[in-house]
Amino acid sequence: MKQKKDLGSIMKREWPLHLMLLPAIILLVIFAYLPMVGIVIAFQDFVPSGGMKGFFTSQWVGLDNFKYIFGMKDFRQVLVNTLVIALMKIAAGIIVPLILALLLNEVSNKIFKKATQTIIYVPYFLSWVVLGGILVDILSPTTGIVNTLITALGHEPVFFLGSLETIRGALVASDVWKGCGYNMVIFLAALTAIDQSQYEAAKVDGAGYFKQMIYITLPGILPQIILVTVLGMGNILNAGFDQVFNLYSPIVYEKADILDTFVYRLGMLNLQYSVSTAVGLFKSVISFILIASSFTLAKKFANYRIF
Amino acid sequence: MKKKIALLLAAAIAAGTIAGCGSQPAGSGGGESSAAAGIAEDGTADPRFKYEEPVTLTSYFEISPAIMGDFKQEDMLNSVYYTRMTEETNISIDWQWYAANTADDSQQKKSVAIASGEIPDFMIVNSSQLSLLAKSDLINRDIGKIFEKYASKELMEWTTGEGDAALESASDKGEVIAIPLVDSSIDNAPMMWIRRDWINKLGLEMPETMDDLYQVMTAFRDQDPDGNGKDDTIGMVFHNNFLNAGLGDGVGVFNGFGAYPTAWLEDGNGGLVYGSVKEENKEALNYLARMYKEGLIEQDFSSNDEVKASEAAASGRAGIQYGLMWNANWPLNSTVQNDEKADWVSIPLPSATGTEAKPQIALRVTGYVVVNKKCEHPEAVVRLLNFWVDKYAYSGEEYNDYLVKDSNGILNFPLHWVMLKTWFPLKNLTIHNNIAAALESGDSSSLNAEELVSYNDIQNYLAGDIVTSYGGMKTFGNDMSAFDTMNIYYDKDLFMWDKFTTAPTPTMGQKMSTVTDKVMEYYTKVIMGIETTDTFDDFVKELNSLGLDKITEEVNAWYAGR
Repeated sequence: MKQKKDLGSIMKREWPLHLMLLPAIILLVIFAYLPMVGIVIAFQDFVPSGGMKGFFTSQWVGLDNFKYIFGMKDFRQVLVNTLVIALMKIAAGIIVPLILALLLNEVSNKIFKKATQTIIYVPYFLSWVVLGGILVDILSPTTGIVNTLITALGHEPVFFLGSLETIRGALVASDVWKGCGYNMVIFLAALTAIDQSQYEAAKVDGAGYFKQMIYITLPGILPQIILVTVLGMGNILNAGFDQVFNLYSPIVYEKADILDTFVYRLGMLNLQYSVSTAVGLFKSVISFILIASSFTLAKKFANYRIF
Repeated sequence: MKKKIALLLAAAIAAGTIAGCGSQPAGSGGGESSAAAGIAEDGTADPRFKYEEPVTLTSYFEISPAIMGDFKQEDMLNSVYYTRMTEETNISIDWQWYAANTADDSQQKKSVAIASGEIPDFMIVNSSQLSLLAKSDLINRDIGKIFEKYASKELMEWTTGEGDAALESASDKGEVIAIPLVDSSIDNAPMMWIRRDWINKLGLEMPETMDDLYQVMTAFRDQDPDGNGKDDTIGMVFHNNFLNAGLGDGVGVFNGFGAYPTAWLEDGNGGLVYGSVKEENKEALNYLARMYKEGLIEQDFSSNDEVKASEAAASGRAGIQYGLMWNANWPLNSTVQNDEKADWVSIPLPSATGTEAKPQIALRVTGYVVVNKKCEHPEAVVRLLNFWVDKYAYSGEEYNDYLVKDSNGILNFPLHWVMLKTWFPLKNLTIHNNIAAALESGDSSSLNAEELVSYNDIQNYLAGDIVTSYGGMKTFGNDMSAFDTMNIYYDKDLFMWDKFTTAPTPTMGQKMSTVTDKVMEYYTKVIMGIETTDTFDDFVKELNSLGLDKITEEVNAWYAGR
């Protein structure tokens, strides 16, 4: 307590640390805080006229842009799509890595274990632009390898990326395939932290693999599971622009168009800058509320905190 | 994805502001002295003036899909066209970026540039971008007067060759605020490309009605026209952007049923109506839906673009393709590389109405050149257009200096390297007719340099080099070529013109793309059998609620007050 009394002495001691922080703060201000000024165009009929000048010369329209988007049939559909796809991804993105981690944890052959772990992790490092092209090719109903297999087995080919029934499944499955390595490693790390003596004690008491999993392993990594879930909630309106953008097409907009792709098309292709910003602002506000509450939950249930 | 897209836009705007500070001093002032460039003593301008000091204009370069595969910046920058341009005018162009000419690539970059207000000295925009820029104060609104003053006689003739509609479409509040880059409108008339060797092999006739066409497609699919013993052929090339006439589109199918989607048509009461909502579309949609159901078109057409879809024709899996007059130059010429017998010919659109099908065309403005208000030398843009017209059409022997070998090894004028280019009406038809006459008489002495290139190309084809000179023969030749079909259209005046020829109305600029997106979505669903045409009325209602009713109102207000 005594040391905290004057700022000067703190700075004198900690200035190198603050200096190291400075570049990050400057970048954050330039790229995250300054652009927030642009939010004003959500309340205007924005006409560009050279940088900031458009903010002052454009006509104010109050909440007209928001009324317009809430009146759009597409917007409601897009919102539902975003929520459904994001929830499916969060759920699958926890369950699949968890199962993989538990299975891998039981493998005793070290080389096999490490190799499997690496192979599962690899797609995580590829960009969706690359993977998008690959997936479109292998899932093609006429020339794709998957459908060649399906037809060889005597079934009708499935147009995974082009039919309303399968598109969401394809999005979630490919997302899990690409990303499951990351959460799996978190779970594996948590598993190693479990006290081995608990397993020995359980064995003495006659517990099999399954019982050990239920009573020792799962409770042991529960905080990590909760943490990953709760942090995922903050991303509930981020259904994954890069992925969806590279895999969707007009035919599946009804089930696969999400807020981010919708904003992109409105703003970048249709030049409806104001409407597009209004959608984006709406999304940011909801996301902020969700992130704030998930942070509170994370603190409460998993004792996870930043500040 | 942690970045917020919403903020991306705002970031672009803010970044533009920061960048803008630096360029402001350079742009202001100094405009007076140089504006007098090329002015003779009597006050008239010399369209072929040369600056005394070097002038550099900034702009964007958009790479056409046709040359995307082997485009090299150095080849273009060091080409005779550009070096001579700088020699003769003292103007050079500083390309700020190079990007593929697609919606997701260059159009998106330009949208960001416009939003940030940081546009180059000149850029080529589409009509929606122009109508947004018209409201802004970013562009030089005097460009119409400057154009009038500096345009050469030939450039003016080309631009106004189909009347004042082109300049009118570049106007706002009575002022011409951009230079329209025009093209021969009839060159966009849909036609049918069909494999004559397949027709002959299967003992069929060229289709004249839509029912004929259905029979031919079925035969092409089922009777193994390529003779490889495998069931690998389809009826026709088709892709997801099928209302955009180009290659493998469906516009010709609609026209065959007397439907003209995307065009504004006379409603019979002195007003205009949007073609995509008319009843006739239902028949065309049902026809396409049947084709889809029976596997006459690819089952995954909805995820294939033009380029992807055209592989079916190139690889010899499809023998019918609706498209435009240039299809034989690319991509149909690749068919013959795999199969020497491949004999694509062009025929007029089959019709289901009992009378000849009317191919729909619209006033063809390929783009609008806008000039930054801060640009010191707006007249330089006109000078470069004059240069293009001179060298492309009236350079005589010099024409040959500019020719460059394309990916097939044929010498061509490097059209795709030039951004500032415009064309003259009936140009290609005129070329064809001159060549056809020369082929008839065997006397090529009356042909100009460009015609001679095509003429020699055709001679090369007739001498047996069909692979190299395929495009030239099939486009301009005298054996069921693209322009033989065009002559039929032209002689009978079959063209169905889009009657809307002015700048987009305010609501159009704002909501038209939402409407056209919806049309594509609904049409695609009907073709794929997810919806039926029973819901057509609801679809029309939805379009109206998306803004089409307001747009129609504005279009009619313009039409009435023309």
